[in-house]
Formats: sequence, C-alpha cells, structure tokens
Amino acid sequence: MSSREPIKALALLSGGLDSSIALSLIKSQGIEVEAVNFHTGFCLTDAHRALGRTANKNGTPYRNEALRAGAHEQIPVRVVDVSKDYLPVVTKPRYGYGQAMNPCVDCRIFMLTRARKIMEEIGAKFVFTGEVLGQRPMTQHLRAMQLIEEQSGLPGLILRPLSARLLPETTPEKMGWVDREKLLALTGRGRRLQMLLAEQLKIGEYPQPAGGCCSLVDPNFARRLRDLYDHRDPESIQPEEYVMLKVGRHIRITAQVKIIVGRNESENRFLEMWRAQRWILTTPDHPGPTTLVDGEPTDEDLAEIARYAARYCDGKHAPEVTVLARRGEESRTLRVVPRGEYDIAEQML
Amino acid sequence: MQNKCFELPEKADHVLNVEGLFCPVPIARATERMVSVGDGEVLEIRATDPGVIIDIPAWCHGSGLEFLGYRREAPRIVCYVRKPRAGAFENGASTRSA
Repeated sequence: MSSREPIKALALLSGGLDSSIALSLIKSQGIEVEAVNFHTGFCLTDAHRALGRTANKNGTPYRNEALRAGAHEQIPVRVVDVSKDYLPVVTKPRYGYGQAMNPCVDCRIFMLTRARKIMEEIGAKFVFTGEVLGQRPMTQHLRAMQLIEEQSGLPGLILRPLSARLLPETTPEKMGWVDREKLLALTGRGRRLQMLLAEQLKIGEYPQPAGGCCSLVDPNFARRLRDLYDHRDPESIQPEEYVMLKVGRHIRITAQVKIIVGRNESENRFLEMWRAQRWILTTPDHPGPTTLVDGEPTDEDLAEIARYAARYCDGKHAPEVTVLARRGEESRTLRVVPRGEYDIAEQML
Repeated sequence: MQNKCFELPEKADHVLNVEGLFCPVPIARATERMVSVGDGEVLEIRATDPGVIIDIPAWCHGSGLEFLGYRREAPRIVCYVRKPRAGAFENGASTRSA
C-alpha cells in the first residue's frame, strides 16, 4: 500500500476510549486522518466548566476529550457548533427517543450527514467512527447501522474499525484502502478489551468509559427539558438556558415563570452571572441560596417566589424572612413567610 | 496578572472575543476565525472559560498551529495563537499529513 496516493479519511471523534482506538487503528494503516467533533449544546462538559467544577483535586479544568485525542495522535480536529441546527433533532425526532429524551438514531443521521459534507469538502474517501456492535441499544445494532448509513447518504462509506470484521465489508475495505484483517471484531457493552488495547496502542489518558457525556440520556435533565419545551418556543431558548437545566433545583411557579434555586456556592455563582437580564433573589439576613427567576413574574409571583427563597435559607423556620430581589439596577426588599417543606414537591422539576 | 509565556506578542493581528462561552464553543469560534487569519499572523483569543488553557494548546498541537501562551487578566484569559507561514489550516483544519 506504500506506492499509492495517500487516502484521506474523516473521523467522527468524541475522544472517548472507543473513538480514540478507532483513530489509532486507522492512522496506523497509513491513512491521512482529520477529525470532526460536533457541539450539540447537550454535552456535560460545558456545564462542568460553567460551574467552575474541576476534573480533579488539583483544580485541573475539565478538558475537551476530542481535542486531547487529536493532539495525542497529532491530527487536526474541527470542532463544529451545530447547536442551532440540532434543535429539530431533539424536538421532533423521526425515529423517536430512547429511555430519556435521547434521539440517538436521528442524532447519528444528523452528525453523519454533516460529516459527509465535510468529507466531500476535504477530499476524504470515507468516514469512520468508534461504534461497537451491540454496545448501545438504539444505534449500534446492524439494522440501525444500515438505516443510519442510508439516511446519511454514506452507504458503504462508514467504517467501524472496532467491529469491522463482524460487519459487512465496506467500500474502504473492498477497495484495499484499509486492511480488513487489521481491524477488530469487538462486540457488546464490556470495555475490558478496549482498555487492554488502549495500553497496547499507547492511547494516553483517555476518559474513563461512563456511557458518554450527553445530557439527553439523563432522565432528570430530560424532565426539565420537556417542561421547558412545553412552556416556551424552542426557537427562543438561549444557549445558557440549556446549561441552567443542569444546575440547581427547578420549581415551576406558573406557566410563564420558573425558578432555579442554587444548591451550593458554585451553582449560586453561576446563577448570579445572569442577574442583568433576570430577577435574582437572596436572603441577606440568613445564609442561603441564590434563586434565579426564569420568565417575567408579576408582583404577586415575585412575592411567592420570595417565600421559596426563604424556604431554602437557614432562616426557613423563622416566622418571617427578608428577601432581596434584584434585576439589573432594580431592587426590592420583601418580608415573607417561608414556604412549608412538603408543599413544594409537586412543583419540583 | 500572571504571564504564562516568555514572549507573548504585544499586539495581535486579529482578536476573537469568546467571553461567557464554554467548552467547546470557544474552539469552534476560533476554528472558524482562523480561516481568515493570514500565514504568520497572530490571533488573540479572549475567553473566560478556564478550560481554554488546556483546550487551545491541544487544538494547536493537533492542527499544526503555534500556541504562543496565555495571560490572565481576571476574570479573562487571553490566549495567543500563530498560524504557521505555509500550508497550515486550509478549510479550518491543518493540511499536515498523518
């Protein structure tokens, strides 16, 4: 294969264990590789970063794993923000949701369709992924893989190096661009073999396999997202509001108004960032959370919200609590009776 | 102010403000912007996401760009990236072969 023109391929790269192995396997066959990583707005890392969380006790920030993997293999990674175009995939998936609000089949079709365009643009011959046959129930079985290939306009052009020898031969294998015998026959959800391979292939510091980083598979996140879509035009939702869904306690007050109550200092700090546009409530006389108001509350709503803010502060058993409500330059002081402990559960999202 | 590079440029040729945006949007914006940066020119990236000090060097390393370093101007982090003089970063990605 040494005298041929170099063959270029595009990797769909998350930077997790499987896609890192796929990258190493294909690169080691002399293929010129570029990678793409799509930002849908539903990745957990952005919330970790927004909240100032760190990946370890040394204060190291959470890293972007696709960039890490690209740097390790010295291949360029194109990070593409598809968050706006991705919205219909989440709100109206043709192939339905998984257990939470995860439109995995539509998501793969969306990403691979985008990948096909990039593949054509850069002159790559095929796309490859880190998918493993039988690892994920919605997208990683043969019928789903075939459907996704057809719908994304890439029949025969999606190579899955980790399971290739269990799957029908693809164009890159038939054409001799890659050697099928050097590809793998992995199947199932276990990662033991991948971890051994990672050592052999010197993959470096890959993230611990933990089922991906997509918030849409989280039932709690999904419940809050459904509520948001039920009460708002999805087109009007700003990127930070998706991050907010991963933060604090969410309590619906009316159809137009919801509150988010911070659970710790970093969540409080994050919520404070948005006080120019939204009402923020605090309890100056008692340690307590920051409460952010999403929506346009009436004066009555604001008084009621102050009772929730009081309920979560250290003065929750006091007969009355002072609550400070601020939005931009506007400020109001309210004296309220804290809400009781048991009458919140139904409104909790 | 903490200077994390020995020779940070005094003036960049291009400035990209990604303050308030979090991983990986700053890199996506920088990737888009880098297409219009000329060979040998420097892009200054102003961010507030602390993770850029990990992501931007990694992005540069994979893409054949030169990471010149960063400076903290709390709460902002200012990073400097130079596009090499020839060949790199056509269509938003390096043309360096594997």
